[in-house]
Amino acid sequence: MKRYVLPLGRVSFLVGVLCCVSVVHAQPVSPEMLAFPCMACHGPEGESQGEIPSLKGRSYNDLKNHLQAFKSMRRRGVIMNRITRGYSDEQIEALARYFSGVK
Amino acid sequence: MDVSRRQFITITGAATLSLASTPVFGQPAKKGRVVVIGGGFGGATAARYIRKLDPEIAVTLVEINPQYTTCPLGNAVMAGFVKLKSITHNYDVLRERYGVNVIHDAVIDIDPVSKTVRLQGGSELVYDRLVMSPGIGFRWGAIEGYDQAASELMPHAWKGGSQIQLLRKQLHAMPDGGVAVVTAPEIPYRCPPGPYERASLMAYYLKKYKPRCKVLVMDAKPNFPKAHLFKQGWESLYPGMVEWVSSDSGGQVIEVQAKEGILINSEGDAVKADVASVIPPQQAAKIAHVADLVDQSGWCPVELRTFESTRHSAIHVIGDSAIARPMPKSGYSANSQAKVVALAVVAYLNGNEPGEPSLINTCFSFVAPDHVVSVSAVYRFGEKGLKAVRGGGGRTFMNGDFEAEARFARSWYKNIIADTFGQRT
Repeated sequence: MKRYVLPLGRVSFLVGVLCCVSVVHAQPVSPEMLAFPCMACHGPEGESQGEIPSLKGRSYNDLKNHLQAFKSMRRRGVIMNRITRGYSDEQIEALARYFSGVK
Repeated sequence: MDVSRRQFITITGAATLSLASTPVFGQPAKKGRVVVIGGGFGGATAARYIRKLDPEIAVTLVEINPQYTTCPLGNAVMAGFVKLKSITHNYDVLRERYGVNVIHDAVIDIDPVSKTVRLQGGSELVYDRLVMSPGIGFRWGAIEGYDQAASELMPHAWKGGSQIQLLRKQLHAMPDGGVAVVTAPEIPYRCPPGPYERASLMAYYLKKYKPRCKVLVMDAKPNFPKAHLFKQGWESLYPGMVEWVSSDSGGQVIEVQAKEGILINSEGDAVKADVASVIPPQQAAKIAHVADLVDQSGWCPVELRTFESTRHSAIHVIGDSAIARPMPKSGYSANSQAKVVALAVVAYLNGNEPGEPSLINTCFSFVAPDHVVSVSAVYRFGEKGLKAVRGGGGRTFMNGDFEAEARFARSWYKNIIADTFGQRT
């Protein structure tokens, strides 16, 4: 059988912009609901295995300051600069409160 | 219409609650019974979180396989730098520590009126709330000649397990100088960046052992997720080895002749492959069709605040089988959706209204064992439905730290497994 290798044609790149809208909240999101999705990366109750930092056992101020530093780009992270921009200041405080309270 | 439906659910929910005191397999079901179908990232997470949030709710998880092989890191197993054993997990911790009744059986029917689930083994399960996370099925025949028998010759390897091993063996047997083809379907399908990770890791393996080989990605799309990051990786790590063919340039495969190793595109041109991984068009798993939970698209429409089916009340559909745009079909999405549903189900069974959802997705893709690229987003529910939060998320920067992302990807895998199955790896 004759072997064809197809020619590489015009390449159209995805424009690097996510399709987004502003989100208006009728109700505030509960602290649990804010915190649970974080645990897929940071481990159950924020206790991580491997290189991703644990959130468990850290103080409210430590967590809040880190999250705010990522959000404002004062600190460069691997993923967290992108993630923290999805949270309001109040939501960051709620997350810091939740994880600092994990026993 | 929404309001009346919600009221209806509340009323029927209250009525069934009064009947819910019968113990299921010894669990005290004081507040209600939840059945979860499917023990992957969606189902196992939902079962664990419901029991964690409220131990007075009885949870039965129905999963056909006693062990679960994850799709994440499947391509790493194919390329030989991760062992199959380390991506294989069981349900012991869910059963023993969280008191989930885990049943390994097949679901043959669901009656949304009497709220019962019928199993192949003969038993019937009654639920107050049903969580469906059954995953994908393949549209056999959508690519002419690609049926289940053909997949034993041209593995999809899109559900983990034996197909991954088969693909690994085929790469091992491939002659130096040969062509490996990966086909990618149109959106929606499980793991949008997955075909490109597969091509990358085929190139990683082949460059090491059979450097005259070539990897061809034949795509039914004119573009693909994280394209610039993958292409940058291919050029720097595997120069000249990986070629991506857009649908605009004849990339769409419409027919295969599996025994001969032939793939035919929409222009009628044929490609002879030494190894072909054909990732076919997909739809919700069969049980979602049997249970009348799919629309014309073959996927399950849901109300995205609680992931409750718009076709049948008291049934929540999460994971790859649900229509959850703009979220991609990924293990991370399923895990996040499971938490929304766990909180909603616990609220309903305690007589409360569910709160507002918040979700995250992050997809890590290996371009090489020490080179990973990612895309992430945060999702909330607003006036226009479920949307990615503006300014949140995005892709790895072109000058990003790919090595650090690789270490994070491995850490993520351990953590999401612990978060899903309750077990440390």
